[in-house]
Amino acid sequence: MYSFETPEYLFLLFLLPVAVFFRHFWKKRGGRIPFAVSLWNREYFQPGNSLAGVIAFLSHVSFWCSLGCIIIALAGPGIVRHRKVFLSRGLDMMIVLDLSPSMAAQDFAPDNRFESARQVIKDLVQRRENDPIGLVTFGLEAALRIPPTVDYDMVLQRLEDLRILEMGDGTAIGMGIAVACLHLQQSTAGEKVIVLITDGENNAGAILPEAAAELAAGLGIRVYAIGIGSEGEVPLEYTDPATGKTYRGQFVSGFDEELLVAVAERTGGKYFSSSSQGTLEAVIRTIDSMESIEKRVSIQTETEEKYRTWIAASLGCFLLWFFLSRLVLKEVW
Amino acid sequence: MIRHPQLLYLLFLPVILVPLMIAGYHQGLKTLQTFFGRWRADILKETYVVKYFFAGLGVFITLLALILSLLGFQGKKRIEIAEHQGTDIVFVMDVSRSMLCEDVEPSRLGKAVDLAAGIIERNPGARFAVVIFKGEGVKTIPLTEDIKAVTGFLDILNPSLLSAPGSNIESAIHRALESFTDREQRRKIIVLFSDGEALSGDLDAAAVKAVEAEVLVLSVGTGTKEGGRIPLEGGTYVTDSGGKEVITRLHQDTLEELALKTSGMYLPVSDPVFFTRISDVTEGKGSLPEFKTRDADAYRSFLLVALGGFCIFLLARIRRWKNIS
Repeated sequence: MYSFETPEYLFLLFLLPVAVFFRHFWKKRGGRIPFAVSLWNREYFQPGNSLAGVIAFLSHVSFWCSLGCIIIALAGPGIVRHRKVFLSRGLDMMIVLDLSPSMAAQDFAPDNRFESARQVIKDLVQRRENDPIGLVTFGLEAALRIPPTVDYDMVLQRLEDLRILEMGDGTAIGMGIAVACLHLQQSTAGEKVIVLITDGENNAGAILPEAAAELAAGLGIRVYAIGIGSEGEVPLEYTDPATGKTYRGQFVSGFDEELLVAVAERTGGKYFSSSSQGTLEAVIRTIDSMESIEKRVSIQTETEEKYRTWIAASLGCFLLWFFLSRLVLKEVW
Repeated sequence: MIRHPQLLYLLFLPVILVPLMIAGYHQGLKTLQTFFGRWRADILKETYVVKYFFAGLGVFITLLALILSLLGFQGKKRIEIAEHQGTDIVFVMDVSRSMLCEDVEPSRLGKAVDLAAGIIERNPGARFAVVIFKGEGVKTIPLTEDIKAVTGFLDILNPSLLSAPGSNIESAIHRALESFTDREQRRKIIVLFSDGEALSGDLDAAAVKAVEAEVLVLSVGTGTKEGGRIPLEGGTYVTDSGGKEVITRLHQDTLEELALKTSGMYLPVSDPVFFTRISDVTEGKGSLPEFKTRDADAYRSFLLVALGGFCIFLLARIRRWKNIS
């Protein structure tokens, strides 16, 4: 929204038409010298050059525009913007994502489980406001990919960089939860949440999921566990990031539902099962709505000053007027 | 102080105007003679001189005042008390090869990491981010309360993390500014650790951006003026093309300049009260501004003068010529 710091100056614009009148239309104005336009009994002087008339008109317009721009700049124009400032801290959310090869199973249209999970996480990140979000991935091992932050662009960038199998061939669910707990430990957030997305059974890592759940419960962290994938034989295709070699095949899908339920319940969270892209989206939306906390917000008004634009416009018009008046028309002042 | 010194070249315009006006005066006289003949032009000349002088003066004043108003002379500062809900600190770490020099213990980079860790320890509740730079700046750790992630990354800092050679300070400051968020009203501080050697990029542009974003820059001169050799693996040292060992020294001028331009502070690593001075800033104590200063440009005064110039010009043009009939 355009606004003016001292709009009183705009009243000067009312004087412009008056000044134009006295400068160009007032019959008693002194800027004219009467002189004969014809000799006795000869033809009248014909102002034949219409281009000169156009240039003269342009010259006058640029002169008055320059003056008008100065008056507008004097009024202190600016664009007012409203900014939402959070006065309270959001909750901390850590996404713990399985990168084992089975996440390449193609039972989640249009691509595979991993791509579906990545897409719903992106949607989740984009829906949150001022809630620090972090990312932990696991396979044979687990690692922090990004600590909890409100720099969502960076979270999305790190998500985009993820590749299946880059954490090794295995499913260290317990390690994934433990790493997430470690990095939520010092958080001052009132609410701390882990969203675990996996399609397999814990078969790697030094920390058992049950022990990791105990750790999370002790730190007051809720774990939402999402078991993804359909039952039975499913096609699978993935590229090993280390060798660049592509693998294809069939594998029998299944995950340890009991374990995930136990982990979620121990921490006061909830377990969800998802067998398709649609249900995964619904699950993530459910978690998103369950984990909404009340936020205190103030709206701040900021003004981006624009007077320099008007001064520059005034200077441009002024120089154009001078060029046309003095150098092209060669007016006598 | 001028906020837009890059526009100073515009001041040539009024200088160019003067000969043009003088030429225009003689040309005007000739035109009067053409239209009214020599004897009547002589009668008009007296009025013409006055009219032309004041019209020219009006044009000159207007042009000069418009240019001066564009330059951004700073007038009175408008001070607004800032209410902060915490502190965000971005560590900008120079990881160029010269930072391996051991003129401070254990090395420049090692000392920078130690000092950063000390700042983290003394600022509980603050959020931290890390930007590293060589030929360009890279955001490595976003603003976070997760101290383990920050210190864990600082511990593995070394020049091989980035491949592009050089020390582009402008790129580093831009990446650091991107790390801050406007979602909360927090004190924003950049702590730059560098030896200031061979810094490239537009320092002024970086400083202007930092000031606009209300970010204080504390630059820490990491190294000594006496300098030292740059060690390599295997106990050898970096040499120049002539085979002579390269001596790297602290160049504090650039670092001081950056701090000064952002109303920040320059600190040498050897400062005995280093952490106290840093804490004064991060906690909003001490002499550094704990308020937003809005530089109220003096543009309005110049515009009023420009308006006056217009009025002089208009009055000169409207002034009646002598009756020549």
